[in-house]
Amino acid sequence: MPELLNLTGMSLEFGGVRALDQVSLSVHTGQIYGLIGPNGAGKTSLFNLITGLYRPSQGEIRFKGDSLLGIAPQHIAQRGIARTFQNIRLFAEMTLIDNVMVGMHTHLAYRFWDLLLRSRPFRHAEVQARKQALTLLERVGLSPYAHALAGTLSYGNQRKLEIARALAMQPQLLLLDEPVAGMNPTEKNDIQDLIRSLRAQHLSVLLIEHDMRFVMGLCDALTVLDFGRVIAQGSPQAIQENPAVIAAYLGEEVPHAE
Amino acid sequence: MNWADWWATYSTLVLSVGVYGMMALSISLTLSCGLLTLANAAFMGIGAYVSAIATTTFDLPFSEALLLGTLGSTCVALLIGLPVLRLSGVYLAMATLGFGEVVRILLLNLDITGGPLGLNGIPSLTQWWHVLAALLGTVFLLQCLRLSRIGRAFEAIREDETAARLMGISTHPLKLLAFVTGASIAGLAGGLNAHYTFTLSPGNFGFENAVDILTMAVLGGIRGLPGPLLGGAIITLLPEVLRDLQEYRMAANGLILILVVLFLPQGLWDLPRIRGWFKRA
Ligand SMILES: Nc1ncnc2c1ncn2[C@@H]1O[C@H](COP(=O)(O)OP(=O)(O)OP(=O)(O)O)[C@@H](O)[C@H]1O
Ligand SMILES: [Mg+2]
Repeated sequence: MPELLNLTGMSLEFGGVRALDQVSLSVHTGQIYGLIGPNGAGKTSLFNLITGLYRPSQGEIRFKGDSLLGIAPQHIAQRGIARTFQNIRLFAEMTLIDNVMVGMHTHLAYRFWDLLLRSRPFRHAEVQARKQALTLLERVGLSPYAHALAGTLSYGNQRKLEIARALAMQPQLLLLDEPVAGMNPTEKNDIQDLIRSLRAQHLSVLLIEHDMRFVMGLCDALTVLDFGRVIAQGSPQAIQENPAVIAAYLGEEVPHAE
Repeated sequence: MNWADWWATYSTLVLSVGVYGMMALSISLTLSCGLLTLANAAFMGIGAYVSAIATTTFDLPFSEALLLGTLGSTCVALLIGLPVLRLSGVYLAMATLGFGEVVRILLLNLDITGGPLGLNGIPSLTQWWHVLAALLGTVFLLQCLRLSRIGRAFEAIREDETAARLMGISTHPLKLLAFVTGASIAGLAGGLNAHYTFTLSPGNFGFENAVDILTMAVLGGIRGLPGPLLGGAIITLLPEVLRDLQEYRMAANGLILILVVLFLPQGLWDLPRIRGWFKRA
């Protein structure tokens, strides 16, 4: 399988403090890749590097072979990387369907004149987009609330809406930052099924999650971060048996699945 | 009182309700994408002076004068928007306020603008239907924007600019679009305004006016287009209703601004709240 995302020797500093130290990993097309590690290990910071919000002090990021260094966040997104946020960042005062349609912004290719004349291409594109948005909401189980404001949703449903909005961007790589935090077991299963169905569509997923059962049951490969450093990399099986990983998690829940 | 007398007495006021409706809409456009800019009064001034000079000094037809006024403020907005829109929040408000002062001082000191005396004897060319057409055109334009990907992007930028960028939205060009379109509307409103007031003076387009325009949009609310129109009408008519309190006009507007922000954060035109009232009743 071809390499989709490739990070080599990524380091990040905050005022002299190393948040990430020489992190390397690669995600292949169609892979579900897990990123785990204790609190403050640098997982979210790595997402911020990939999406262009932070600049690394060292290292290289390649997506489909091209470097992403120095590229603005909106252009990285346009190249096919979508994400969700650990601390939910929805457009709270917009409806669910409008939130999802914001995700389609760059794919709605009508011109300014079409919009003013309300011409056929414009109306067609808007109607199609609205249908697609509804389909996506259905996929995450939120279609009954399509016209409610995003801010009125429960915590778990807000996370689902973030996933739908990210999928609306038709990305090739989806970054999920703790997608099932605060969800009940049934909801977690739904999300697991959803992510598997994405893999079947050849979408690649890089996900951060603390729920070990969820991660081990879903991911094809994993990287474990601790204090900004990669302490283990490999299959879920190998990770669970790795002594360094067990040591890092000592005092927390030891990663055991199934 | 017959119709002709009534119109003779109140035409200026009626036309002003329309013109300031346009002004409130123009500032609501930038507010709708989260930008607090206070340059709209200055853009109105540029439109007013350019078109008035066109009809008085250069004897151009009214339509061309309006076009020139609109283009004038549009071009200036493009020039200052490019650097200034890199700023946000209070810094943007300060920078645009500063720009407004620069415009006022230029109008005060240039020869072609008549200096402190301003321009006098501007022909009375604005008809009621000119204002109505301009207002309807503005409403149509803004409604088209609202119901498109651009309107949704404006809202997204207002709510969370970083999240919007991570959705692939190029925020800078969109902010510039909102700012420049707002300036065009203000320029046209200014041109219309100049041709029913007979005179223009630099003081008409200063800080006080900028705050009035902001008050209109905030009072009416920016959740829908009726809001700014309502706010514009109220703030324009208020001094007529409270004739005896003329000197306290600025204080009254300040008080309105505070009360609205405290008790009606979404402004008067807040559909969810209005629906709530009807449900209770
Ligand atoms: N903008 C920032 N400024 C300063 N320090 C930061 C910033 N962002 C993150 N850090 C620091 O970098 C380190 C890694 O943080 P990060 O949020 O990436 O951890 P994480 O692995 O996502 O943790 P969690 O599991 O709690 O979400 C932490 O020590 C954090 O305090
Ligand atoms: Mg995190």
